[in-house]
Amino acid sequence: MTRGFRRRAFLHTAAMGATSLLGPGWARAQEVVTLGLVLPPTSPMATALEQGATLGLDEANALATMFGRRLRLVTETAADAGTATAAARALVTAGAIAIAGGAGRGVAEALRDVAASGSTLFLNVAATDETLRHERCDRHAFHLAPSVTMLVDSLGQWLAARQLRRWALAADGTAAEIETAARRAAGRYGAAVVGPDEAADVRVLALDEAGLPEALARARGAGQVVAGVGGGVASSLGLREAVGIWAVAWHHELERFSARELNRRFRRRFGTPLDQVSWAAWAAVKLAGEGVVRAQATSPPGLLAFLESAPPFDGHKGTALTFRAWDHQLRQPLYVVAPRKGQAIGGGRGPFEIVGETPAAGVDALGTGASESRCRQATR
Amino acid sequence: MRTPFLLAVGWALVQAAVAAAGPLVYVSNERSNDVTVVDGATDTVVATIPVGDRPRGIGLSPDGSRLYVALGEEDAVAVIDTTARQVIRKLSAGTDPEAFAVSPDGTRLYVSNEDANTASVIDTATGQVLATVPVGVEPEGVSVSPDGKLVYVTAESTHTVSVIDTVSFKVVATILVGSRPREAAFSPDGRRAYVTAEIGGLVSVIDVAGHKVIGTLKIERPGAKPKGVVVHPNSKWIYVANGASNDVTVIDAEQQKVAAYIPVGRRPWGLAVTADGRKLYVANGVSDDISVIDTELRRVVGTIKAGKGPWGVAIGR
Repeated sequence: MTRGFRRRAFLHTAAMGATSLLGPGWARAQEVVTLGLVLPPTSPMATALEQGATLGLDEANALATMFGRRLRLVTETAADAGTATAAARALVTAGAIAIAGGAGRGVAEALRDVAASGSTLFLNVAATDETLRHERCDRHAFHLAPSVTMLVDSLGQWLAARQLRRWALAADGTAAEIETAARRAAGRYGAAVVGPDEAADVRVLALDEAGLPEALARARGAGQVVAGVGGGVASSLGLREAVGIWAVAWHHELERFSARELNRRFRRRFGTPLDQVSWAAWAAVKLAGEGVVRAQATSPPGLLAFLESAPPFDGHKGTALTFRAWDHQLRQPLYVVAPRKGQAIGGGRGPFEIVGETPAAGVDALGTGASESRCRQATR
Repeated sequence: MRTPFLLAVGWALVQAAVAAAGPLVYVSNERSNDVTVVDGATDTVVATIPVGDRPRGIGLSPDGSRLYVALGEEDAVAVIDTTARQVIRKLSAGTDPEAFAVSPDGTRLYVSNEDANTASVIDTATGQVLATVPVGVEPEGVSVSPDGKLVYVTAESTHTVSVIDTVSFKVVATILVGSRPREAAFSPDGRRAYVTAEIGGLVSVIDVAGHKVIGTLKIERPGAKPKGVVVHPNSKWIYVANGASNDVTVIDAEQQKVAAYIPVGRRPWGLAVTADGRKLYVANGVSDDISVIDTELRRVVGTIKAGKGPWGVAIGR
């Protein structure tokens, strides 16, 4: 089946639309569609994922129940690749047509491997690894979390636009993908990567999350300007500890394009701000729900056809979000946040504020393009 | 002999002035919290009316004596006496009212409540809320059918149009349309309705009697974000404000295809057409002005400075 054929089939469905007529005698058995969610063991990340998916389920069902369908979410926990494989298989047995997850070392790869058989789809809401989009890509895997290269490109565009063009890399070998993406971004945006002892405008942190706290403490002590993509670590910092310029996929202070309404709904439901992890989980479940209604998708192949038809998803980011054909990465604007200046932390505002949105034009300006893709699986 | 002559001349001048006066055009300005009043004969601003916090949705009573303006930050709809040009009352309208429609007989307002996922029915005489109707998530655009029997409420997050029966106040159908539907407009004969979808970048054509989508028109402009929509009084043309591509799409209703794109100001949002169909007024939210389009020529023939953040347009008779 060609991509063109799939797209036409979907457009036909969308053009004809769907209507539910709710007369007094209306009673139709609701068809229940199952989605799976794999969470890490108890942690702030697990809570964020679960809350995002829960809001997504609420909103997906607000739509689905209008058309005689309903979605349910079945949750499993996994700490590593082994338990993730078992969790995914249990969810497939439970009938999950798609599984959202990807947090934890090796978990995303394990979920991808289970999905590769075609028995379900993997909706990656947490893993930024490039390998999942390149060498380990698969047609049944869709990435709602941005890739490392997208995040670094976002940061690079923002830094270059402010003439911060001399970058020193703080690298210890634990985050080679960030380092590679930073060197690539420097070349694309007219910046130079300088040696560790040379004068630099900013130190780009190519470190894994374990190494970030120490690096941030050092930066605070030395008054260095640092930038990175570990938004999770950064957002856990208090106002006094807040340091760094970070690329993120969502922020609870976004207001335009009805982001304010989404942020309000989340805060009203859970009493906490919507962060990028919760946003991705919300988006995954809501998007799957739209497939259930728009394309009558009740099986993995049905949902696969819907997602590959590039449905214009409204992620409250002001533009139609679609999956790239070459690696199934969700195109999306990203945001740059920095420590809040001169304001108290109160009112739920948190230590960081939005200082930029990227890209300036064309969402494919973030991340690897089709010509750079090393994905050779059946995604085209 | 002199006095009767002067009276006659004076009366003739008054008559001439009345005859020359065009319809009054009202534009809500969401950031300057006022309404710009334009004389449609000269396309000049004749008044600015302070109304309240964040005015967006705007509509007139059928006789033109009352202008209603949704005040999102006040949870109210302002009622303006169009002769005195001042706010005479504020109706409680549920949370965060953004858009509404006035019933053809002027007795009711149908208001979308974005935060509450409901539509409120308000008695314009008493201000009483007659009904609260659950609709989709993030309700937005509201439109009443010409016969007053049906109300369409778009819901941005569920991509639906809830069809409300105005007698029972029940949702009688839900129609799935494009992603993030913003506004709906009925054709004057009530047979068709047109719904813009901002993220979907399209217009859905709805068969009103059948409650179903019978056509979809893609707006092929880069990042168009279709928002406002109106139908020409002759039912032949549909006009769509493309918020992000700074133009207005003209759609041939019969052929269901795009006939023209007309460049206007920055972020065209709300629009309205005069009763004679000759002019189209477009509120441009970022350039803070109003584009006046000659519908025959299909081009902008005037630009009028408005307040800050022009949002919606209503035209008197």
